[in-house]
Amino acid sequence: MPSENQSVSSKMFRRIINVQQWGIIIVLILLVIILGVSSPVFLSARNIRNILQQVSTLGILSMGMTVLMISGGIDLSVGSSISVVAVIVGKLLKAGVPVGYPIIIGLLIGCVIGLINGLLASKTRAHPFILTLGTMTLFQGVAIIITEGYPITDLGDKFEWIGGATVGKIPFIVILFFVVMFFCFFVLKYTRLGRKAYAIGGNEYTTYLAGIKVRLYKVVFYVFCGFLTGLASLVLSSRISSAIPTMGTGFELQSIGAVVIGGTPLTGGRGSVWGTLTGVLLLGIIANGLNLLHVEASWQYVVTGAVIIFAVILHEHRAQ
Amino acid sequence: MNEQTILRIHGVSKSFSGVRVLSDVEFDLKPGEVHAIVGENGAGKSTLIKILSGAYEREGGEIIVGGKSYELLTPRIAQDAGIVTIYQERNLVPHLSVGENILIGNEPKGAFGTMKWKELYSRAGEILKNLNLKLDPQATVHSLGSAEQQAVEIAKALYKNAKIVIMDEPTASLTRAEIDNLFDLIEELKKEKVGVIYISHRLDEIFRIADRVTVLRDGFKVLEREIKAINKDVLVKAMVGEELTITHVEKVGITDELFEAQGVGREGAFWDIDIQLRQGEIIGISGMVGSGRTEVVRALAGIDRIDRGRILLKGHEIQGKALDEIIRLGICFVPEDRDAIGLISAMSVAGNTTLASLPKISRGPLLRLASERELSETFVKTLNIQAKNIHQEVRFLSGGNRQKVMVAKWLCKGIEVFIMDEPTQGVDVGAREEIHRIMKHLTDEGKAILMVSSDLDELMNMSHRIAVMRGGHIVKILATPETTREEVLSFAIGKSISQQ
Repeated sequence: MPSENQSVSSKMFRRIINVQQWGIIIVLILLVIILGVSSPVFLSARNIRNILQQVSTLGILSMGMTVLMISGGIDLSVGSSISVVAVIVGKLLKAGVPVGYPIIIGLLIGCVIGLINGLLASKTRAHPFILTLGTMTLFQGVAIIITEGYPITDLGDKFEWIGGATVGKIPFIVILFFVVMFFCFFVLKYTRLGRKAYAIGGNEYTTYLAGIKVRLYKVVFYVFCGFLTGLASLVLSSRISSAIPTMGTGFELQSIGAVVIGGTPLTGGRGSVWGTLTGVLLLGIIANGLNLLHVEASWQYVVTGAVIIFAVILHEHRAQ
Repeated sequence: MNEQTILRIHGVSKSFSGVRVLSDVEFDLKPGEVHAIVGENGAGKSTLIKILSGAYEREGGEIIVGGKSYELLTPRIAQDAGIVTIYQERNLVPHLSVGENILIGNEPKGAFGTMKWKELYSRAGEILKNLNLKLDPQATVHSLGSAEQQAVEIAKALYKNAKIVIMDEPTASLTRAEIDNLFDLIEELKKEKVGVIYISHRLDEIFRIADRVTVLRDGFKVLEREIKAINKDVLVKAMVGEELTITHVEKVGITDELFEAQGVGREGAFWDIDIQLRQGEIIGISGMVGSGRTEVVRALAGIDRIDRGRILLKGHEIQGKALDEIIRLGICFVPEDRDAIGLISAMSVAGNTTLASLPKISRGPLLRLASERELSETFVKTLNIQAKNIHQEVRFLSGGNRQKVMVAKWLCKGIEVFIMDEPTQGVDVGAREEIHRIMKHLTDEGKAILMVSSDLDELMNMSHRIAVMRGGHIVKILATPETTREEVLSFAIGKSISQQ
């Protein structure tokens, strides 16, 4: 029996944040305290804005990955998809196409890439990890072929607006990240589509036996992830005002890392966008903080890797 | 006789989640003897051999192997004590040779751990020759047939100095000639003074090969005889036990035909299945494991394909249609394996309850969580599901309650034909009664149930008619309560008994 005197707000809070998440939140808070004490600028408004701006690309990408991984899928090709979308958009902008078209086309290409991955994952019996490992390499090649290996720079003021604009004092891309996050939260919690993501990830066969078109929805989740990959690509290339054929490299592992730190298991069926938010923030704060403390970039890899291992062990431990 | 026994089991019991599946069982085995264990499905045969092979831990009692009492039996200790189990699924490494498989773990090694291939093959060849087996020790195991692989397993057992060989339904997938070979092999084992525990539901085989037979029923040992001192009739009587007082479902309310199978078949699995299921009726399907019961009901529920015949639901042909469409027409499958395919264990009671009826709790693409809560709370109450609340994940519920959640899923959908595979297997007595009550309630409302069960009591008490399956075919449809447990079992095992 649930105790009746439990306050409504604490119930709400518990429902939003999974108990397993507390370990990571404590780590996050500890990290903020340590960095706040050791670096005077860390907690300044400018630096906080800076962190949020830096994690927006990874954040948008990881929200799509969260939905996909809850449904039991995984997409290793998001990194090279970012590159492909960026170089095509860059080429179009350089050719003088009005800025609206490349943006729409970029998002569509993201969807098409998702469709390809989704069809492969749902029509074949091979594991999506391996399938998207294949498409990852394939798309990387495509991006290099399109640009012949050269970066495309100076994409124009209008396009750069996305990455540079602010609303009040808040960067537009940070707002975009939070809009995407709340949208994904809403989809997962309040729509049939979201419920199906949890169901398919929880037990694909049971879901099929319940009369749900599992194959169709698997494709839908890949397309959803692909769309947000396209969006993340636009955000990234407009921030740096260039399209580099290898610019997305490493993003796939970072976003899967953020999702896993956030408590979504590789097997799917569980997870939340709030967990992923903690994962994204943790990765962003580690990078930022170590920069502020003048720690060499190579050590950032070591620390990030250790955090991911720690998080996975923590989740394993709590799950038992 | 005492010095002569190589195995003595004394007062061994076992329960699963409060259900006694083995009670104070006594059993012994002499060298060079074949001692058969028979019983209905669920009588405790597999539990007993799993205890012997170290897979399950026993509760109380004593196990003495070769004069030594074993407090704890793990698979490792059991093997070292000379107990080898030959399972239906082969336990061989498919890509290694016959010789390597026989000597696995004891391969002759030279300096630096290199394999002495010549010696390996000659030793393996010797063992094969002793057993009169014409197998090439250099052949790869996966190129062999099922019977030959079984022979390799036996050779492997012998090489390991097995004193006791346990065979669980060894002839299930063998042809007649292969069975003869197996029996020759068992004769060789007897000459080597190995004791064989032989489990089979094919009574003919038991009368051919066994020296002694023990009958288990509901976890109790009910009979032990020399095979020469017993006939099939007595054996079957011992297996089914005394007739229980039957609280039978009333036959009121059976009206229109809801579901019909006409000549349904699938190559290599089952053939010519005819069933008519009317509103308010429960048909039980009886049959031994391997008779094709589950295959048939899965196909009738539209999950697996059929090659021929028609399946009619309220006059609509459903064969070949997509599963979601078939479900919409009003038929569902409640599987035996709750956790693997029946439920989403990481999902809440509410989520599982409404899984098949999402449109019912949503407006457009949006879920109405309030109406989901209301709906699932109703089912929790009417089915008396014991859960902390509707948000509790189903993996924390007991077997009986998980079973009820599966039923709730389909009640929520408004299903009319329920196809249930072993609806009460592994649930405790209280939950079992409740599930039976729910089933009766369903039929009162004009719904129909097709139920596979290994439990003769359940079949006799719950169903209006019992379809008995053997070898992929319905051999007889019997009406209850006129039929008897013996009659059902005799059709399930084979006609030979009923001829007497």
